[in-house]
Amino acid sequence: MRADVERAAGAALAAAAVTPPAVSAAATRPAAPVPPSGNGDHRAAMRQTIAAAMSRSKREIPHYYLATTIDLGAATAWLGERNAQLPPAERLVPAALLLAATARAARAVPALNGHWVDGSAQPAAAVHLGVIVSLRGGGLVAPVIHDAGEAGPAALMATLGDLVARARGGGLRASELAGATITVSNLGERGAEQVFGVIHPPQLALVGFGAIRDRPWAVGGDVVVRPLVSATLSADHRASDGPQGSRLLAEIDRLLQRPEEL
Amino acid sequence: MNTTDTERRLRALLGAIAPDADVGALPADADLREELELDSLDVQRFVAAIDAELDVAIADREIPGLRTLADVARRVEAAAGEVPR
Repeated sequence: MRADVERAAGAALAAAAVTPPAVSAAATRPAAPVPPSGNGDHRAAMRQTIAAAMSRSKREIPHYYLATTIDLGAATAWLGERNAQLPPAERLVPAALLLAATARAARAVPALNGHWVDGSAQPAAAVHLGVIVSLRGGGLVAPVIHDAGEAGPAALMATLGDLVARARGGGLRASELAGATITVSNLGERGAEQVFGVIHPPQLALVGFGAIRDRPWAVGGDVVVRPLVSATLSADHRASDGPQGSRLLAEIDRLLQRPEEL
Repeated sequence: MNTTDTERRLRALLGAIAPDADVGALPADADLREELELDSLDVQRFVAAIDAELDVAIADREIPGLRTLADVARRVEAAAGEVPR
């Protein structure tokens, strides 16, 4: 019985990882809970799922990679002022702004938001944002924030907090792991400075953010210290080219300079 | 609340945020973020839970200085002497 449950959980993750969301029935079936991820069999199944998806990606998707550095001075200043006036439950972390900016930017560059199905790119009408969540002890899951292009940072953060808690404790539904149109890998404050991710098939792109660090930065001819983040793009060269990819990163940068509008 | 009570309640809150970590085995003087692999969202949720459950509002600017469970327990107990909100 337990083995059956674990197999089912592995299958649910596998379906989320490798089935084109556009043709997946998982989202419309009654959702099966994914049990806690603490046991060894489940970990092994998750590892196999990741291995299959990543191998398929590198076998099938001709990746190209772009990187840019974004000044988060305006974003962190706005965040600090906003948070100082609010109770803890309503405060935001910088990651919420990064996700909101990515979701909005993805709406503006459809060649990077969608899926590669049957030999052609199929841009998606909405932005469903996959967010990579690392699990303690290894492995990862990528729960999906549906219609993220319409949500502000506060709503995104509330949804993400709920998904992360359940990803780690078990209890994610199959529908919450399916349907992403673009994925974000955010390494967080203890992570490396840059990440060039592997696209999650059949998606068209993955946006990566490294740790935010205070670094020297030129502003108006002077060198000043600013909180900087490296934003990277891994994109499917079958579906887009460098200029489109550059446009996505530039749009994320532009949006993060006006955090109050996110 | 004495220190033992405070730490026990904080461990319970952390356990809900990091259900896949062994919060019970965490030494009080260990670096929380390192030991439990907490990211900024986890820390924010911990601070929100402390506000909700223990009625202690920790400011954003204080958070970087709170490295260990003992640090947080001291901060929570210091608030017990403050005027209730």
